[in-house]
Amino acid sequence: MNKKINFKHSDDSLRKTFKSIHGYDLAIVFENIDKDERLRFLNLIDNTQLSEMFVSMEHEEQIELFYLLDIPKQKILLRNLESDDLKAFIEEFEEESEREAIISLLSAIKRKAIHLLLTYNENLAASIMSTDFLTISRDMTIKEATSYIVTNSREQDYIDTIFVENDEKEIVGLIDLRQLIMTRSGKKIFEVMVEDIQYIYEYETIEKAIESVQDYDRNCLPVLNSKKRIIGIITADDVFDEIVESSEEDYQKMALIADHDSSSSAFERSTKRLPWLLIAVILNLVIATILSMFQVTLIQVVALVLFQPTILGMAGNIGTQSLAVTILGLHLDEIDDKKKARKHAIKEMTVGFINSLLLAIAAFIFVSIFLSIVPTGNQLPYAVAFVVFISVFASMFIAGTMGALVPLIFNNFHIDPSAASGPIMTTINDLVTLIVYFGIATIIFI
Amino acid sequence: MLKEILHNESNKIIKEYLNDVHAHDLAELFVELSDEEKDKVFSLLTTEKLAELVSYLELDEAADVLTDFDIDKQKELVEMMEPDDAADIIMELEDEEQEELLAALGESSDVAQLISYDDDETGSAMTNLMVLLSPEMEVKEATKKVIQEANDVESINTLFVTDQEHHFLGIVSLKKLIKAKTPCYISELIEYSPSVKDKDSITQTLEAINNYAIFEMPVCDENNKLLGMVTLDDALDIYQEEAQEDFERLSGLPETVEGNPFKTALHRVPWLLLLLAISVPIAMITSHYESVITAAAILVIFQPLISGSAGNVATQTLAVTLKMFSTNEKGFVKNSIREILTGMINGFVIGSIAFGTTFLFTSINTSTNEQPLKIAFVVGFSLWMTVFIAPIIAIMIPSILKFLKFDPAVASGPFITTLIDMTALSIYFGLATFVFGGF
Repeated sequence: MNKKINFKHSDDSLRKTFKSIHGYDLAIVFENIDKDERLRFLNLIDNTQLSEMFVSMEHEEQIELFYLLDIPKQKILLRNLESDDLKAFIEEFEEESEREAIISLLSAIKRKAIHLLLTYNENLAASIMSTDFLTISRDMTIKEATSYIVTNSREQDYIDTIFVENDEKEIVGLIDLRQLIMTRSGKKIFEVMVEDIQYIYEYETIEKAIESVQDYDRNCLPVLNSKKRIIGIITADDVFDEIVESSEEDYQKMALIADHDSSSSAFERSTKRLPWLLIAVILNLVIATILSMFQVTLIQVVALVLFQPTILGMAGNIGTQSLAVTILGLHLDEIDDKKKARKHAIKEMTVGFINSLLLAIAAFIFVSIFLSIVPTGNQLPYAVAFVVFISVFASMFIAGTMGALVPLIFNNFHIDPSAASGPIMTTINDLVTLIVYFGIATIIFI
Repeated sequence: MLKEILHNESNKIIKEYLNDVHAHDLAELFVELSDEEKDKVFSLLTTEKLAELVSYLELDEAADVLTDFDIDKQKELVEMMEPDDAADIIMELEDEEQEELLAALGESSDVAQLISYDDDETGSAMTNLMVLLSPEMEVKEATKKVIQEANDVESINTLFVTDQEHHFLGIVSLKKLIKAKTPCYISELIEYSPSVKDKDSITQTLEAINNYAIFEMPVCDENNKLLGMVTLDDALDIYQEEAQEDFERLSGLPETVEGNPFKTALHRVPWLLLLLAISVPIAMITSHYESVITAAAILVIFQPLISGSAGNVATQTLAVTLKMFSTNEKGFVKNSIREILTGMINGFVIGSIAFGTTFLFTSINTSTNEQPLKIAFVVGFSLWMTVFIAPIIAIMIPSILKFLKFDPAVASGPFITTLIDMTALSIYFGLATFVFGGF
């Protein structure tokens, strides 16, 4: 969708061109033009597009754009933004004074809303909510409600669904705009509204909100305070952003790439990934220290070295599998209570047990044949094969079990379970595996 | 809860309850019921609610339920569902049942047309239950049309404007329509909207929906004729499935199957056996270097460091590369060069650190070896080399697979790691033989 804009054209023709470009693509145009062109560009696009474009931008660009506007235009832009986008923009400023400078440009009502939004912790559903919604009273007639909405809704308001309150301002139902315009005007709202509604409380997590929106296929979810009053809404497009973010995060953590961005340079990639790699190096040096205890065994039974990578690899593979299943289960909320967690752990351990046993038998056969064909060291092939058998079984079983248990335990202590997919887990698995392997060999051969 | 209501309450109350409960909740309760209880639910549900229930069930269960009914009822149910949901369920049926139902529905039915699309084409996820307006319409007339059709479409929040030949012109939001004052024509209210093509890949469309943050994405054919739309809630579901697939592939996990542990174990074991098999060459390579290992046994204790680091780096590059393939992102060559450069830089840094610490470690631990500098050099330099080569392999393998028209994701993390192990050990022991050449 990369559109080339020719700034030699007249204002009128440019204005027309811009009208047929979505804000997301306008943001890309903006990024690629110089300052004079930017100023002209900003004069030619209408206010709705300006705000659409603004929300598709990264924070640095948003700031650049914002300070190119004169104060009245800045105010218009801020007024047209949905409150969740506005909050995200303000939140990025580090300095309190910068934040306040922006907030002071807002209307009194919006100022209050933003101050409220800024108080929520970022994993709470309320932190991504927008305050641009409409409520009507349950006693209004359809006609009154419709004309109320037509006169009172602002550009940025979400009015596909309207929320219904009683006299105590508690939420008692909702009505879709569709229902409203379809129903005969004589009826009262409470006769036609939907009473069985999905909602979440302000202190509940984003995950809960995501789940609700997804399960019930609603485009919009109300957020309530403890008095059952609606204080905001979460819309499906915001939920989509959250899902994209969290599944990319899982993927990247599994692959040990933090915050990967395809536009970053080689050097940036290095600095981001090095910490994990360094941790892995240091842990491996710890392993080396421990392994040096088994030096005598190693010198005497050279054949052991041949199968070390195999055993490490097998333990790692089964560990990755059970880890991935567990993280997926936790994030898709298939494991959402203690009972299910226990069931999951037992199942994964059983799977681990069966597969470890099968693989250990296969490894036993493989080592016996291999050593019969390629004799190495002075030990009997079967003796070495036996050591490998025990080690493969034990280390695979342990790695599989850890892969399932560690994320569950993390989750229990409210740590993000995908943190378990770091190199620390892998290296601990390596360590356990090698101690088992060389330990058993030492007992048998020395 | 449903169970108790079914047993203790009168039919009238059950009926009322079934009507009020959200289909998603009903679907969750439904799967716990016995066959008899299910039959009772069927007899008390309205056809409309039943259709809703079936759409919310897991696909295999939905297919089971659907085939319990005779063909006329099946047809009636399918026609009440949203075409994209119905298409998914029909795809799940046995061949014979599928044919019978499709024949009953007729070739020109919405569902039959949807099924003609590939799974990864945008067309397969679209619905055509939408309100169409023409630019000449007056607001009053348009509103009347919206009200008339509102019950039969998926959403009326966005109304789509097409000309006589069905070309897509733009959208009008319901909000704008009800706020408009007559006399006013649709052509004055029309707004530009991005659109996608029916043959576009579904991942591209999902990305577009996310970027533009729109609730209904219009789908056109190559002549810009409007065919349907993809709604945000469907996009969410598809995205989640795709993301799950990517994740599973990266971890060498075959598609998740529900079942008892024994079944699950058998399902995952082929992968593990394959990985065991491809590790045979590792042992062969190592046995080739037996003499140098006997001579400098301390080398062995640094072996996990070398292969572990190389494996980590390879997984990182692999993840980035597979992600690029699955999202059809451009700039593959540029990305690959960056990845390899990254490997070089990272290799140099951790290689140097490993050199330093190995030197210290072997110097302090004098019992192990008398040539700390040589050992440290072998460890540090081969670490650098392997971390440099690892990204190259992690880019080449999936690219070759893609070129040969295999699924590039077959080269999952564990597979690549095993390949890297071989390379890493050859470099490590090869360099050691070279340095300690005398043995």
